[in-house]
Amino acid sequence: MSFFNGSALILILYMAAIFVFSIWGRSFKTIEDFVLARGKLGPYALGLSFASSYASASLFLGVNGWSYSWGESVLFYTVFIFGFTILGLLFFAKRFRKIGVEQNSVSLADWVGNRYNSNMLRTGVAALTLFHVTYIAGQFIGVAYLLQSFFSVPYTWGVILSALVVMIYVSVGGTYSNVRTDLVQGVVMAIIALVVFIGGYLSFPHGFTSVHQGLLNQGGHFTQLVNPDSSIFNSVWAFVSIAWLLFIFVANPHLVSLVLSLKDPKEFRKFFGTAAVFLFIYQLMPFTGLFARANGLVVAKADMVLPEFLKLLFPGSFVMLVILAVISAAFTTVNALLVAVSAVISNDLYRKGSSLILGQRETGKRKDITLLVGRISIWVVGAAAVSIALTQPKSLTSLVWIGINGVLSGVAGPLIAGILMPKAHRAAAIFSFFAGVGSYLVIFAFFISNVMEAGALSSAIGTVLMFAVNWVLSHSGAKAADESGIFTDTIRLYK
Amino acid sequence: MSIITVYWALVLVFSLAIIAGIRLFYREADE
Repeated sequence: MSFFNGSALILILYMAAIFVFSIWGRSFKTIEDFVLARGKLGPYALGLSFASSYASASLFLGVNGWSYSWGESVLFYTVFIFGFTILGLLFFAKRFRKIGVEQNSVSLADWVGNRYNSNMLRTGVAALTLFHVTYIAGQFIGVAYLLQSFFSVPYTWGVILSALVVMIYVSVGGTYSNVRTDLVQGVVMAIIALVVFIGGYLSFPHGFTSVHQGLLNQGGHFTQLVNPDSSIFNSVWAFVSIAWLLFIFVANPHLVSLVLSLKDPKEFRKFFGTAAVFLFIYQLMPFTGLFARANGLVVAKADMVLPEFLKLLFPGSFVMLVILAVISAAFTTVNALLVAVSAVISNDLYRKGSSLILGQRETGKRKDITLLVGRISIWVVGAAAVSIALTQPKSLTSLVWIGINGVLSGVAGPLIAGILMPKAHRAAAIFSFFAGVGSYLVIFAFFISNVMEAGALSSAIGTVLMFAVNWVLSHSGAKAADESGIFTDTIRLYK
Repeated sequence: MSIITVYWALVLVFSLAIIAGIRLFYREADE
């Protein structure tokens, strides 16, 4: 099939439409406008953005690859995505927003830096966010697979093309574009996910009973909870790990920053409700991998099972729509990640760094440069992600999790304690940060090859040490971070 | 009982927990 045919035209038109929509009506002058767009976006839009930023090519392609390869055990992962993530969101959101607004924080690194009045933590968390480059790479890989399979675009060019499109519209529009495009793409993704789920379900004469029987007929371990064939779901401990990681998943900078964009705390309920409903719909998608396995379908690449199975069920034009939805899923996630990473580099590294060197008074020119740095950084990070994506991984979702766990391992302790404890100590937070990240690198590199177990263990180590060291410091009479006038200092810095 | 059945049971449990969580911790009067 040639790339230059009718379907390619639809793809190009779709991308063009997203681009026009994303920059329509935008206006911002400062980096806060660029990354937060606070007050310009309602709770429904932000809730939908949360869910669609969460649902990526990893969920739509990679987790389907998992469920196809490893069977029903993967359903625990998907239901935890809905349950534990939203419960985690409920746990973090209220106080994170309250403290964030008081501190005038625009990103997670900024929040942690201000909370503990520590530039070392700010820089550390900011640098950690760069781990997300594998998360971004995973999305480019997903899109490139689709372009390769359906439009015969060579894999390398697919990676470059998808990167170019998303980077252009994010660098032009920031969060405003991100959330606006999330609205359209998020709804498209939800409709497609429902149709695919229902269509797949109806293709079995007795519903889930037939699916389960089909999986049993395939032999292997497709219906077992603990699957010895899986590199992830191979122990009970793995499920505990996944529950914990998904509970703290909201600590990912691109998700938690949406909470800061909420205009009014009264909007929380609408925000949560929208996020929960859409996240539930999106996590139905990985059923397709089960349906395909139960059906006896054989595919060369597990990550491509979704489109391959749909080709059996639906007409070509609908499969085309699904591809657009998956591309949307990838783009909405990359958008959010790139904006978060750009906020980190421009605000947390460049702006705070230049304040330390050049003094705290910000001139108009320096604000312009900060915005420019934000935009340029999107291209630098995008290019790094492209270089990772050029090598095809064994599992897209496993690659994505390597980076996510790097972020969570360092951030979990300082964030949880910063929210729960009025008297949280800077030294404890710094200790927790380095212990979390350090243990992740060592554990994953040398001891535990299951990325979920390694991530959960190290983020738990970071969190436990945070509370332990904090307890010791509190009992030795040390001064806590919020007793050092941090709120007033921070507000002065921005005025 | 298959994992698929457990999955739907968990969907129900989580939905109730989320609704309870929102009602308990995000009452408008709190804000």
